Amino acid sequence: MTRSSQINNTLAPLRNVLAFRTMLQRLDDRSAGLTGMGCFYGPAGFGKTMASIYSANARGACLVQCESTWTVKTLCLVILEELGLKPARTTPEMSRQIQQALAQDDIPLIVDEADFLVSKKSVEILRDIYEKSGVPVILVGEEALPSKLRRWERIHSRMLERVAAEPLDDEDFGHLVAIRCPDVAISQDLAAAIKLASKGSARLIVNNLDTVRLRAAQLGGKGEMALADLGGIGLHDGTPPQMRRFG
Amino acid sequence: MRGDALRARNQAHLWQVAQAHGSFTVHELSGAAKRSVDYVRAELRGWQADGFVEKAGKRGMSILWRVTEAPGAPVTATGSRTPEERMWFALRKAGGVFSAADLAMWTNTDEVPVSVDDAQAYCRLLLRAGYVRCEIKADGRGRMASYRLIQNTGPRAPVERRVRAVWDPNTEDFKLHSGRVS
Repeated sequence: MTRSSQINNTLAPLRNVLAFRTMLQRLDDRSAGLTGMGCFYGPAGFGKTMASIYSANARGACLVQCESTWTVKTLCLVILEELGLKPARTTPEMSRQIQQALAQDDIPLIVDEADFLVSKKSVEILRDIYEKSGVPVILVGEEALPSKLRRWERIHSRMLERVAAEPLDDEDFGHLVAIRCPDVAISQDLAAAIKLASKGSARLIVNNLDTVRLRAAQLGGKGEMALADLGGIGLHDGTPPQMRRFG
Repeated sequence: MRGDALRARNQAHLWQVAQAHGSFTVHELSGAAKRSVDYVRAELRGWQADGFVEKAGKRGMSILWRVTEAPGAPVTATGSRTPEERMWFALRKAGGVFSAADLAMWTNTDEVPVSVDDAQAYCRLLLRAGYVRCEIKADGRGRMASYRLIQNTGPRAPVERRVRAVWDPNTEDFKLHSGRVS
């Protein structure tokens, strides 16, 4: 393959990345009066985090990834750290700092793993930040996130969009092949096997394509790979190993 | 992010002063705008390339610059991150083990291309400086090296700089110039 084609192989055309960027764009361009919060949800492995990183980079957004132990204060501290600001002492002060910084430089806020916040009412502070700064605020989380958010009426009513991450389709598979295995042609049976084993998960597809690329390199830079070429190497399918029984 | 906004403000200020003066030498502009000579010189180079200023003879020994009739004003790309900033952002956010191929995949866009080679170079730089640890070494037969971030120092990306330093043979250590680092 030529170098130039390799450079243009970006994640942008993947359907989940596209969906995320479109949502961010629509929130950015929303007309006055429309609410500006969004929600991106789906099972693990579909590339939600990848999509959020990619879009945050392209748009220059502030991205924080919540952890299970976080309090409201931690959330504020981390956002301020991401913005490169020295945090004030109290949470209300920090909240104001965040509102001003986001509004001043027009930086959208993306909160990954938002499930951790939902269970703790910390979402309210995100609503405050959104209300005062007016910048798009996107919550990213697991499949149940939208229904969890429904409990907080004030958040629920400010959601402009709820976008679901979808399992990767054949077209996405082709894009990932071009990115991860640019020098290897993958035969139909191998492609089918990888798609079957990966069950639409971006993470597994990438893992399996790396396995194929590595195997092709070990076979002396083989340009075409079929299922038989893999030898004894199994494909990742995300299932834990069976319990073994001894005696 | 904050750095971008600051850069844009600085540039807007300098451009305003330059327009008010019309023609100027580097030192005149530096004095009038209260910005360092080096900074003014660097901005002028960029403006000249974009056609906003041109050389118009000499004043004494110094080059005289003149603001051209070109429409618009110079802009710094605010919000657009450099490849290093994008890679640093992605590897901080993604967590876990990553290879140069992963890094390139996460950050490569049509506007700011990042090739696997670029990512590889940045990974090596981070490795030398101790920000990442090499988890799996490249075997030269197709397996790429995998890294893990071990020093997440903050949102702004570490970049390579040439510095002047003083070597102290007693302590066997370099001391960076405390003044301006060029």
